[in-house]
Amino acid sequence: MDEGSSKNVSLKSHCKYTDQIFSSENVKDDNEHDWWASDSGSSTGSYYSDTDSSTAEWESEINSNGELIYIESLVDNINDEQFSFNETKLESQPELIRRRSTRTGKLMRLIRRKESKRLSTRNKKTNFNTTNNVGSSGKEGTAIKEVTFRDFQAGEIREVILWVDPDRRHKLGRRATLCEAYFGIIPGVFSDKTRIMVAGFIPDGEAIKNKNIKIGDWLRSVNSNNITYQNLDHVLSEITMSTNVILELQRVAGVDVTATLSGLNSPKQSALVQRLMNKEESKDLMQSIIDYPLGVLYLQTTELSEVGPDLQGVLYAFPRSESKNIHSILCTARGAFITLNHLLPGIRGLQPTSCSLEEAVNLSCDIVRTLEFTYESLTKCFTSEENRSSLDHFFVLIIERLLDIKSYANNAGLIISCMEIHNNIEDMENYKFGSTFSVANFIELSRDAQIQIDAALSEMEAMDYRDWNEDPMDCQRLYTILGSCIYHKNYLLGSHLTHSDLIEVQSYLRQNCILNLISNEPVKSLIIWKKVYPSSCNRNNTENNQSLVLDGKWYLLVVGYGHDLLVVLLESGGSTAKCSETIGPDIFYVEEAQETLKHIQKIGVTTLAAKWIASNTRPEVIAYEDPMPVKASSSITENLLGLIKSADVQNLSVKPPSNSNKKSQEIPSILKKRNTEECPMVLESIYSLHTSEDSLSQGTGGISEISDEAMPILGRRATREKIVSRSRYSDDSDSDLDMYKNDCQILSADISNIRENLLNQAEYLIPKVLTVGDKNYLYHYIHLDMVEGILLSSNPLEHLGKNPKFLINFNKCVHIIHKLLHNTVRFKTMLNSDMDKTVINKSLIAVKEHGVLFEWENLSYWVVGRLYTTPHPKELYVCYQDSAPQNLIEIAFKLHSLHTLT
Amino acid sequence: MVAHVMCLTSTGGIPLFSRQKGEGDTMTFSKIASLYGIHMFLKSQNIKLLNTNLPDTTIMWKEFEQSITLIVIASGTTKSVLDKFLNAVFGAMILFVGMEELKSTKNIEKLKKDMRLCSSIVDSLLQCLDVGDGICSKTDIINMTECIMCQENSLFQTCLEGYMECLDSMYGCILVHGCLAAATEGWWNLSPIERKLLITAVNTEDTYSTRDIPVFLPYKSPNVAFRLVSITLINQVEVLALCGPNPDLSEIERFAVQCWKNSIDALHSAEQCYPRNLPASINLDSETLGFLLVNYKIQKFILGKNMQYAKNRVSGSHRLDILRTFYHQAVETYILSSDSECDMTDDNWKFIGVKETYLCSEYHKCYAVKYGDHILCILCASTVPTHTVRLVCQKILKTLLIDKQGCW
Repeated sequence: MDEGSSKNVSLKSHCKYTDQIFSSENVKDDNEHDWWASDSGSSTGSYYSDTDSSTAEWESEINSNGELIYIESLVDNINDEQFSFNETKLESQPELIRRRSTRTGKLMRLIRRKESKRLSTRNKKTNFNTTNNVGSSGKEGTAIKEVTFRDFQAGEIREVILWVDPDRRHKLGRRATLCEAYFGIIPGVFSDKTRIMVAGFIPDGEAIKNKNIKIGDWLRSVNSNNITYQNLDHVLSEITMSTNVILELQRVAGVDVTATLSGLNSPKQSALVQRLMNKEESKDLMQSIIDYPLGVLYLQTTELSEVGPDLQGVLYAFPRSESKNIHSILCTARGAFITLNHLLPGIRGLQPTSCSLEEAVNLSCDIVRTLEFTYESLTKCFTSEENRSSLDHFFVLIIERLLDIKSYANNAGLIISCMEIHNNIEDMENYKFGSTFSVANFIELSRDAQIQIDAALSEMEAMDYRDWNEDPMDCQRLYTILGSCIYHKNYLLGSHLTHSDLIEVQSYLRQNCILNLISNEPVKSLIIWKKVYPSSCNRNNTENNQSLVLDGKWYLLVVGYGHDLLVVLLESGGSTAKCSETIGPDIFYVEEAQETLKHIQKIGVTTLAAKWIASNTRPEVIAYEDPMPVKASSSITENLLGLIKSADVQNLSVKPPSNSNKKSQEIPSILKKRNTEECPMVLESIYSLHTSEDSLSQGTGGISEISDEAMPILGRRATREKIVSRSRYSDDSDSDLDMYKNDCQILSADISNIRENLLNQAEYLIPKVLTVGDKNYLYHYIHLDMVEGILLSSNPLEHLGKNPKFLINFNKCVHIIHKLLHNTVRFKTMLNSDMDKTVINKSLIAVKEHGVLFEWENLSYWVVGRLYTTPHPKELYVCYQDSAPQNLIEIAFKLHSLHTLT
Repeated sequence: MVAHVMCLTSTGGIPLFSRQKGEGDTMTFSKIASLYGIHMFLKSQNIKLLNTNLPDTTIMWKEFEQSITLIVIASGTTKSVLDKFLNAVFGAMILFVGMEELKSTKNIEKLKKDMRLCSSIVDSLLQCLDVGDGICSKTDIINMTECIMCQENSLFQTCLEGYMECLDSMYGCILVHGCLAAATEGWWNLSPIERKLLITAVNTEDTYSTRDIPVFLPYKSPNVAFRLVSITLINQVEVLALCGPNPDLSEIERFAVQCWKNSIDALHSAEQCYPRNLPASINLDSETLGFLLVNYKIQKFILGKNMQYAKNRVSGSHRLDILRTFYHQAVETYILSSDSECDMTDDNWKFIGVKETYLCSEYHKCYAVKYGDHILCILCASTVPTHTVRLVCQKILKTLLIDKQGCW
């Protein structure tokens, strides 16, 4: 069957996908505009200008179904290169506080209690003080936004007249700068530290109403007084009465930054984000691709009459055209598929599966999974009129990803763009690979980091708020949390979801381009709230009313900051309070999730993950183009040894035991935070004691161990050592008891130190070699666990010398080998009665390993796939240089014992 | 484990023949018509229907010369094998009827009658399909000529060339148990399908001492018939020749006796070579259960099993089946992907520079090494370590290629 008539989605495998997918929803936001971050340095606080009721910025975006997709970009796409995203910004995200109902009010009190605890620990700089502000909902975020515009001085100079009323001086609160109060301009500085830049606007301010003032402009003068950062306040303070002020502004950024904001009241969104839901453009594109051999159909195959209307039985078609007579190829050819579907069971007793590429079949499975997850069933999904536009958009996004349509507006370039050089090939291969196998790319961080992640997720999932509230909690909870998982870019860091849920969540995020967004650019804030139908909760048994939970409803909550996502699956029904379906997300749960994500970011897990991914040590793979592949790794080791030596000396000098008590505060153990949370009063003294020893063995001391054992003491051994040290120092316990009465102190010390410790680990990652032989021969590996929906893999292109052919070659092999190995799995799981009837080739029923030796450019390498079936089928694919024979089982074992064995 | 092949006229959808292999329901006319109708309908929509997948089973459609549509349903095999199979079936039709007749037939009934001639060839082509049931009596590969390597091959070559000179023909070969022992250069220049069909045509019928069949060559001469003359020299050894209208059969018989009478002993000893298919001087390692040596440029192969292991574990013919399956699944997919002209692979990606490939299952290991135009696949027990299998395979390939006695 040719491409044009492939059953579901025919894909061109050599096309690639660009990184521009998301579009924005143009929503009128009539509410107060209450997000904005000041950026005039660490000291400048920002305040709400308005009245008592403030709302979370995303609230207005909730649609009539109570669902929400809110994405706010951290950076403006145009100025991408000029912004440097770093983590400091994340730490100072404004805390969101909102009042909504009496119930929420109660919860809000809890939050605030919790906030006060958490904030004191998590955000040391922040003074959470509600009495300070009018309306009790203000907050002080030390949002350090490192905005630097290109500051060459050429540019159009404009004069703007603003009405200034000094009486407004205090309206914004005491700490607002004069510039903010008078003009509504948030001042920033250019890199020369003197010139003032318009860094933002204050809602309801004067400047925002004036179209001539743009973000990024240089504020040259006020009433002809040249303005610098130093004299700004002075000049402004001379304004004592209401008057018109002439501002002189110069455009410097070269681009109109303000224009790209889709109306000031809707969130800032990059081009990538704006692609998310601009359904109008999708419609245009859909019409333009009608002649291309691709499409999606959902058909009704029964109750068709001979003389029905033209398109009877077609429940949904993509692409469609406005005019009645033009149909896609797939649509006109549908009769053939219906016939095949009817005919073939009669011939072989088997349902036909496909008429096209294996990958297309898998992709459509993934799409179906996503749709069922979001719409309960395909019938519900496709028959409802109101889903039409979002489905169209969904498929446009998918086809864009598959075909790599760069020039969105220029539809004529559809084919040309397919032939463009695929610089983003890894992205696309990743996407296709993930889609065909429905797996999440998982990275196994160090044990300590995983403990931190698990602890944070568990804490959120438990929703045990008693500790934060002295009053008994008298309101029923709205939702039960079924599970959660956390992503950094497109890597899964940890998951508490059941396997099937994880697979569905992963499909949802992948097919809706959320993962693509998050790995390509940081978001300032991302919130998605959606009603979903997880298969684990008896999605398909609804007709029997056998739902596990009476009146169960399930919701997916996704929150994101920067490159990180936290996904929470919530259940309503059963023991929870009844809630209206259309009300949208409850702010308490959203903020709880946001808090958790921020906490995880704050303790450095995601930074560790980024370093972990970049470090290429766990396990190490070698570059494909490198003729002497081992050179690199050995030099790393040398460097490390150098470090070790110096650290060793240092370590010896601080070693005197008399120091131990003083040091205990500075570098406590990694594991302590968890323990103190679990049993804060009982254990803290004990733990505080031996931290002194930990500080030696964990921090610098850990390195001294490297010199003899070539591994830092982490994980179990660290715990073990700790126990030893605990007993050793137990005599000192009395002296330390008082120091840690206040557990807040402990926590605050903890967080920064956990972070420090985790990041320290990232510094001293020892390359781990999987292959046998005197050198490292591993180019690439993929470990596939389709039952759990998890993929472990090296980061291919970064280490393969940017040779996309190599990667594609590898992936093609994996597809073919997988198909062979899958026969074995199928045969093993087959019932005895079916075994006689099956037509699987008898020679292929027990394949467990398949390898191919390639010889490219004087380098020969193997691609080998291996299946091992206990406890459930897992597959390992490796690509290694042809040298010593490798045992795949051994490699798999080493891969899994990376963090448990040293 | 059923395979069906159906043949219909493209324009009218009139079924010409339908053959099947294995037990199972026969195809009813309505089903055949529906399958044809789908292809027909899509053709009207300007869409070419290539194949449909069922779990483990594939249906493939192919239209030839805008006049004949072939449909095959088979399980356990690859698409590229099915594609070659359909080409071979169409070749078989030309072999007996000629292109002219197929393209513009006036009399469908006569064509139907003519088609009966080729049904035995189609049946033996169906036997070549690797359906993976493990009960195949003779393992054959659809697109390649099976050869036998015996010490006498060079002697046969000389005799054969003398015989061909007498017949004034370029195309001739000698078959031992249906396996080719020696052939003229002209014979190797025929297309692999033509070679396959000619040998199959001789092998399918019961043993005759002489045959004289008019044949069209599907690629070389689809419209002008040649004479395929086969003379049985001794039991199980035949000499084949393609010749023009002259000389007549009795004369050819005379030439045959004249040319071969001195090599009767050699013929007898060559006949003993079967089913080892290797000269006695070459010994396989004891680990090797079976081997498959392929020259993929010329498209010929030798398939043999280690007689030491005749009685244990995997039964003899099943062993060869495993090798054939391995060849189709792995060797053709990887090693030959850059050379294959057909686009039957799932997409247009070609694997380049593949040298070796292997497959381990619970019961056995297969290993293939490519060297020049040659590929050697061997089958070992699963207990042998993979790197040993690799060494054994490389060693055997070297032995086979260096050995001058068994020129092939």
